[in-house]
Amino acid sequence: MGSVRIVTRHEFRTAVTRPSYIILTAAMPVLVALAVAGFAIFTLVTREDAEAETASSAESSAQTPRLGYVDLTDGPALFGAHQDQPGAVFVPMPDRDAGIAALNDEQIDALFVFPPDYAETGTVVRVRFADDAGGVFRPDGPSYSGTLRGFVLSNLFADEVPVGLAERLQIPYRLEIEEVRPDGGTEDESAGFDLGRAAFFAVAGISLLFSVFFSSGYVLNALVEEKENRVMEVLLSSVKPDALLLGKFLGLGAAGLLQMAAWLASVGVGVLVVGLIVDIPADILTMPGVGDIAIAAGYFLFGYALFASLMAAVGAVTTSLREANQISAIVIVPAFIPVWLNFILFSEPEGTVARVLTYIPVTAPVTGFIRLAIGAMGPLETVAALLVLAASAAGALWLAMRLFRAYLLMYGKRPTLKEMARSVVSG
Amino acid sequence: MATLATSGAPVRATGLWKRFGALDVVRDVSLEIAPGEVVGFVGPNGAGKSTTIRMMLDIFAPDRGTVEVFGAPIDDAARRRIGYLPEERGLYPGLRIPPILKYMAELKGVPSHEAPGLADAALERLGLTEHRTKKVGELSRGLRQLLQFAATIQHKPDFLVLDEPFSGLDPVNVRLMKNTVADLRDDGVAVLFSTHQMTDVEELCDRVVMINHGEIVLNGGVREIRRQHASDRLLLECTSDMPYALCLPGVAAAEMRGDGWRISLTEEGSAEGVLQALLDAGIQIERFEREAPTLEEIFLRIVGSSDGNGTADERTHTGG
Repeated sequence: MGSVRIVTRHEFRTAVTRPSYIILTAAMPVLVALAVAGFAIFTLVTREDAEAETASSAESSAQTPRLGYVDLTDGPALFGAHQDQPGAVFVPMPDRDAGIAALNDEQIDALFVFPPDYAETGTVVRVRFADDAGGVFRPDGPSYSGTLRGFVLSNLFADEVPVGLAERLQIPYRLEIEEVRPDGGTEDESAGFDLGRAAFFAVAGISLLFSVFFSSGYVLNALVEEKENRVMEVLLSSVKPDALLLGKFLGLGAAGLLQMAAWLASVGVGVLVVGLIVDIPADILTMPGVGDIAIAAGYFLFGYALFASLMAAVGAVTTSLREANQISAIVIVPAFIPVWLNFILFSEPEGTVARVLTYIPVTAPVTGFIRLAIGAMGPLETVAALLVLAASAAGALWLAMRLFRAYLLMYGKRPTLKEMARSVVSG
Repeated sequence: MATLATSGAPVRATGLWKRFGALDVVRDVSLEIAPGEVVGFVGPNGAGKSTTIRMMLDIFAPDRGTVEVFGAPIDDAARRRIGYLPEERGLYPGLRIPPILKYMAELKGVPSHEAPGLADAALERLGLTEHRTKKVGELSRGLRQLLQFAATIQHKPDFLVLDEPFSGLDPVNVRLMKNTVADLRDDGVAVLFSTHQMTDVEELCDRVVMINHGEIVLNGGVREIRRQHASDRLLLECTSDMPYALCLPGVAAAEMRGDGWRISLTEEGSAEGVLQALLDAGIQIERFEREAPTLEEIFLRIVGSSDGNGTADERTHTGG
C-alpha cells in the first residue's frame, strides 16, 4: 500500500499544480461570481425601477381622477353613496352650472349628469367643453366608462343585493379551463414532485458528466504521457503495474473530485447569495437526504471507476496522446447518449429506452441521475442499477489492468483487437 | 556506502522463457550475479536482452522459469534495493528536478525527509548541482541522461541494472559515469550492464554474458573468454633478425606485421614447440603471445555463425 500512497500523492500534487488544472478549477467560481454579480446588478436596477414605479403609482393615486356628477333624478337620490370607485372618486355637484364651473377650474376631471328621466331611459350625459371653447384646446381624455358603470351599479343595487353579489354584477364571470381524462380524472404533474431532490440529482448529474470528461481524461493523459516520455519503465522497476494504476486512479480521481467540489461549492455559494437577493423555493436550499447522498456517491464512485478504467485501457493500448484522445471518443461519446435522448427520458422516464439505458454501463450514470431527478426510479431499480454499474466498473478495471500489464511498454505500434483479446485472456 | 545483500545472490534467474506471439523471445536463460560483480550483457538488437532484464525485474512475468532477487522471489522490499536505468528512458519534462528525484526515491522506500539529502548527494556526485532547480525539459540530452542516472543510484541500490547507459553521452560524461559504476562495484553493488559497446564491457566488466536469438551463447569471465577464443596464430617480436620463421617446426605461414611476425600454426604445431625452437636457435624474444581476439571479434564471430554462417557447435558455453 506504501507504493499506492506515494503514487497517489504524486499524481494528485502533479495534477493540481498544473496551470491548466488551476485555470479550469478557478473558471467556474469566477463565472459564478460574474453571474451572481450580474444578477445582483440587474436585480438592483430593476428593483429601483419597480420602486420608482410604485412611488409613481402612489403619487398618481394621490391625483385620482375626480369625476363630478349631478343627480337630477326624481325622488330620493339614486347616487348618494359609493363615490370611491377603483381608479376614481365621484364628487357630487349641486347643479349643472356648478359642475361646469368646477370642470372649467379643473377641480374635477369630468362631469356626468343623471337627467330626471334616467330611470326610464338610462341616459347619462357627459358634459365636456367643445374643442374651441374659450379658444383653448382641451383633449378629450379618458372615457371613464368602466368606472362610471361600477359607480352606477354600486348605487343602483346598494340596498338590493349583498356586496359580493354586487361585485359579480359588475364582473359577471372569470373564465377558467380545466382539462380532464375521459374517466374524469385529472392530470396533476406536480403531484409527488420533489423540487429539492430534483435539483440535487440534476446538479450531481451535471457534475458527473464533467467528472467523466476531466477526471478520467487526466488518467488517460497521465498514462500516455508517461509512455511517451518513457518514464513508465523506470516507475515499473519500483512499483507493480497494478499499484501504479491504482495510485493514478486515486490521485487523479481525487484531483477531479476536488475540482468538482470547488465547482459545486461555488455554485452553492452562488445560489445562497442569489437567495439573499431574491426568494428561492425553500426546497432547493434544503439539504438532501442521506439516502440520496449515498446514491449520488455510488454513481460518482462507480461511474468514475468505470470511465477511468476504460480510459486507462485506451491509454494502455495507444502510443501517443493524439491517438489516445481520438480513441477515447469511443468511451466518452456513449456517455452523452442519455443527454441526446433526454426528450425520451423526460417524456417516458419509465419507458423501455429509459430502463435499457439505465443498465448499459456507459449510459447508466447519466441516465440514472436524470431519472432520479424526475423521480422515476424506485429504490429497487436504483439498487439494481448501482450493482450493475459496480460490477461493470470492476470488470473495466480488470480489463484495464490486463491491457496495462500487456502493453504498458509498447511503443510505436498499436495492437490489433485480436492481440488485445489474446492478452486479456492470457493475462 | 551501499547496503550489502543480506541473503542470496542479488539476482538468480533460472530457465527463463518468454514468448511474444509466435516468437520465443527468450529461451531458457539462466543468469546469476554476485555482489560486487559487473556483468556485461551483450547481444545484437532483438536478441532478448531487454526482455530478460524486464523479467528479472518483474516488469514482465516469464512464461517459464524463476527469478530470485536477494534469495527470494522479487517483492517490494527487493525492488527497493534495485536501481534500473532502462534503454527507453525519460523523465517528466515539465517538472523540476527536486520533486522528480524525491518521487523516485520515495518509490524506492526512502523516507520523505531523507530524500532531498540523497538527491543532493547524487546530483553533486554527477556534477549536476548547479542545475538542480531547473525543469527537466530545460536540460540537454546528456544532462538529462546523467540526471536519470542520478535518480537510479540516489537510493544506494545493491543491484544496479544499466541498459545502454552511455548512449548519447560525451566522452567526459561517459568517463564520469564509468567511474561512478566502478565506485559502486567497489562498494559491493552488483551491476548488470547491457550494451553494444564491447570496449566498454572489456573495460568495466568482470564477466560477459552474450545472448542471441533469445539464448545465452556465451557466459564467462572476460579474460577467460578471450583466452578460450584465442586463435592458432602467434604474435612474435624479436630483437634479432629471424629470416627463417617459415622453417620453424609447426609453422604453416608467417607474415611480417609491423615490427614482428604473425605466425599461423599447422594442426600439429604448438606455441610451446615454436617457442622452444626459437630459444634453441638463440633468438632474442621481445614479445611472444597467442593472438587473442577482441570481444567484438568474438561477438561478431558468434553472432555471424548463429545467423547461418556456422553451426550450433560453434556456440560457446562456459561456466561462471
